[in-house]
Amino acid sequence: MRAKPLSWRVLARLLRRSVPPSNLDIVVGDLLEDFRRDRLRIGRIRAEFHVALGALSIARSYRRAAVDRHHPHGSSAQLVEPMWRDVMNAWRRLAQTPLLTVVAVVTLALGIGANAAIFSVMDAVMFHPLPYSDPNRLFQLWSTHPDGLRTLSVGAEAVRDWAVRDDVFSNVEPYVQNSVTLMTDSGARQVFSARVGGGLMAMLGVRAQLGRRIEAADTQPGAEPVVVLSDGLWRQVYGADPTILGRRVGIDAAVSTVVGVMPPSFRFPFSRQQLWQPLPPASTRPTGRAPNYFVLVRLAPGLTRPLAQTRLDAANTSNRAPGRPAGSRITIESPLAGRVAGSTRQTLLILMGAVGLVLLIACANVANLLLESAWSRAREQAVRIALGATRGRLVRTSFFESAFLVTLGGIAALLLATWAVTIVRPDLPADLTALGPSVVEVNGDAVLFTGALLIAAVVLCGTLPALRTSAGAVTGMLQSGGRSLTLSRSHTIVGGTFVVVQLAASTALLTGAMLLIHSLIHVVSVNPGFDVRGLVAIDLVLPSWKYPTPAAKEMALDRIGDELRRVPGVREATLTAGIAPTGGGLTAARAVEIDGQGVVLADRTLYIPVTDVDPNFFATLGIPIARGRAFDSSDRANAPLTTIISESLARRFWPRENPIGGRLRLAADAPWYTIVGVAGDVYQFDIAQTHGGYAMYFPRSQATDIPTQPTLVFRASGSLTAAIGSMRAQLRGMDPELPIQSISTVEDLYGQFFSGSRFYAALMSGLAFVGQVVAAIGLFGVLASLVGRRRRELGIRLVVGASPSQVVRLVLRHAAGLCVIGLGAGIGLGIVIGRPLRAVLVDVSPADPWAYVSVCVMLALIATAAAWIPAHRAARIDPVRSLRFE
Amino acid sequence: MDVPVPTLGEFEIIVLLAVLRLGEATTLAYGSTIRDEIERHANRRIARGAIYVTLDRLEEKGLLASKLSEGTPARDQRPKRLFKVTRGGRRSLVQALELMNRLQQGLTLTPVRR
Repeated sequence: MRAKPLSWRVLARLLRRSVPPSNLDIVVGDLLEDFRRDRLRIGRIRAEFHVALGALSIARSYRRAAVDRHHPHGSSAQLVEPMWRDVMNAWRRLAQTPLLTVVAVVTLALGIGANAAIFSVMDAVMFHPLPYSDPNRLFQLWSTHPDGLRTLSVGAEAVRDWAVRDDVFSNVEPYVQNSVTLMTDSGARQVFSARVGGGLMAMLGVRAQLGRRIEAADTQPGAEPVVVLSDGLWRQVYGADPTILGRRVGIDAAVSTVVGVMPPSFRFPFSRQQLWQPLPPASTRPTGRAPNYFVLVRLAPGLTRPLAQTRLDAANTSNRAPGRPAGSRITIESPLAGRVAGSTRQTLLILMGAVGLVLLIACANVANLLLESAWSRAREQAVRIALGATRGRLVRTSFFESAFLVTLGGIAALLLATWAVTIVRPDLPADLTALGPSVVEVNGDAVLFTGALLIAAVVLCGTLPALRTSAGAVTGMLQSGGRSLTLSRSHTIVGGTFVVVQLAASTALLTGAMLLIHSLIHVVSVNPGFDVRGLVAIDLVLPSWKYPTPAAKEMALDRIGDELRRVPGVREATLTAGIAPTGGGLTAARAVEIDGQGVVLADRTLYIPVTDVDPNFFATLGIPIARGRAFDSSDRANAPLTTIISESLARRFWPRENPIGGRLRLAADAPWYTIVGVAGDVYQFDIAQTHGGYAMYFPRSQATDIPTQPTLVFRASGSLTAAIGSMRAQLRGMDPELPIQSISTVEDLYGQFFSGSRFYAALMSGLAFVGQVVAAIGLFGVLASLVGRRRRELGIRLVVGASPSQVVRLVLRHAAGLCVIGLGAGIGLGIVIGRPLRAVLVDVSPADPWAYVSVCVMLALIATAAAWIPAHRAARIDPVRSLRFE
Repeated sequence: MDVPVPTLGEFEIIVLLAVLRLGEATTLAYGSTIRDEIERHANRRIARGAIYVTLDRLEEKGLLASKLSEGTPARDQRPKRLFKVTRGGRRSLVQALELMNRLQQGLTLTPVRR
């Protein structure tokens, strides 16, 4: 098959329509021949261009020749020209009303652009199919346990059982996520990884960019340990070394051979996974209990999900082995189901709603503008009809006018959307991009969809009024001379309705944005409860293969602490299981029994993180001890068990009494702990919840085990960057194999923690701003044209003695009326759509009066600004001129 | 002049000359080569449509004759229309050029700078 021009189908159709059949083949042959020659001579792009121009020129010439033949005395230009004249007319009209044109184009650009940008982001993170082959047949297995708990992990027996049932699944592939210590030239590092079944990578249909994937042979007992690297790891650690294959690298305690590098698009199961190792079959694992796996399956050909589920259920009930736990049901779910969950999903849906409101505002505004301009031209149209213009002609002009607006607006929107996506992309919260495609781009469907909606609005509103200009109306219009004193009622109502819709939608938007901002302020201004400045946190991993016993770990930690205290600038150091906002509090009490008060179960409002700390913990972090004492050397392993609780916990259980000396325990068979101190509240783990302040601390010297992922917290003076650098160097020098998970200032940790809230608040504010601008433009437009058309009436009022200020009041009163209705509707709408916001708001109720008041004030200001110019223009009307004015 | 000879427009003259030149050079004269020949001498791009329409018109007037030839793979086996100038075509051309020559005589035309 020889090359054809890209646009060939279109061009061929064009030619078929215009070239006489006798010549068609010849012309087409010439074009093809020239195209193929041009392609080699001047390159593909220019050749494409030439062939398209050639075909157009041929079509035009033949058409013109045909016309000349039928009208030997007229010129072909006559047929072409009226159309051209309409186009020019439309353009001239737009140029005559530059304000209208600019406003309409800006509105279209904002409406389509903002929507397309947001929708593109959402599509990428929520709806985009996974980048694997035939993703519609890929599913994830879930188990539902007898107690109703649903988990993504499935027992190994199930994997074994189902792998042989090729009437249900064509592939069943287990995987587990883990983290391993990778030895590199620059020291050890802890990376996220996954162990995958032998056929998993083949099932996903992703090829290695270098070497091979993990294969079935790799998972057999006795196979040589192999590893496949991610593109990111290959570039970062190995400088994209093309000779990496066959290199032996240390992973945990073993040495594995690199057999492949996956392409950048392979992010399985999440973007954080850096390497993949084979998952050995379950039976070869020495552990007594069969392990659980995540399981990805591909349905057997021709099978639907419900059918597969039926077969799964049938098999489950018929051959349940006696020893197998009853009632654990395996279900088949879309792998996308768990992609975006919880409050993130909620936030995205809220943003979708916000985007919809912006679209509504934009539509209403454009429609209003065009109706307005069409009405103001009613008289001109009537004159043109009277002079012999056909209705078709008027409609055509209006149509071209709309088409111009849409084209200009569309181009601007595309630019805006591209720009907005580029701006937003780096700030996307990590939980959104974990599974999605690596690059979020402007989505064509979104542009088309929103564009189509607005085009419909433009064309309808631009063309309908012209269609309605009937002969009778013309007579009436000409008779009255377009001088009726006041406006037609329907006209005022329609214009007013559009403004009210816009105001209502933007009020609702603004309310949402205010709530989110208010909530963000709460979050950001929450006092963490300790002095974060100058604090550096190092997350370490003490791998069990290297430090097998708690004693070994303890010794290592002590040594690390001593070593780091020698770094210049480091003043204090303490070891803990993690630090606020995200690291600490991962262990929480399920229930607490207060001596003399009974057992209180933990629930959504009682989340009590439990942390084992060193004696100097409170001093190092700067957490005040409000009552009693901090831990000290007297809290030895064999001394009476002690605990320190946070102030809010003390307030909850000892509202009036002194908690010092009180006792509590965490389980009925656990020992009692005596409260020796009350520490200030620290907001940790889930700062978005109101119960952030509860905490219990235990001395590490009395703890039974040591944290598996300890955090060392330092207080340093001087430059923290320098301190971090020297700490890193110190640790490397001490033990190059020690993996450092992360090392950063606590202030940075807080910054990252707030980034999600910030992102949503910023996005919502951006949308609200766009909505506001467009709605203000709408209000301004309506009032300005109102004043324009009431010129005569206002002039007469001034003549008969109205003062300019009365005229100003008249116009402002009209604006105020619209605003009050719009605000009322908007607040109602805001309360309705604000309800889902509850899930993402911190310390702010969706009915927060502060938000509503500020929105009302803001809108009133904006509305006044929008009404000000038209109102004062009205007051300056020269009565004499306005009466003469045509 | 006994037989009335159709008069020619400028573009028609150009096309006829191009077909003649291609015939002399034993190159086949058809749409693409004719356009190339003109573009090569005129140093500008010629609209394809104009070529085809003019060729048709000249053939209608009996100044050009054409026959179809076999297609080649380069044109997906579509036929070519090969043109040659008829006797009448030559006569018209000669007449038009002679008229121009006569009219030119005695005039001093400064060369037009491109």
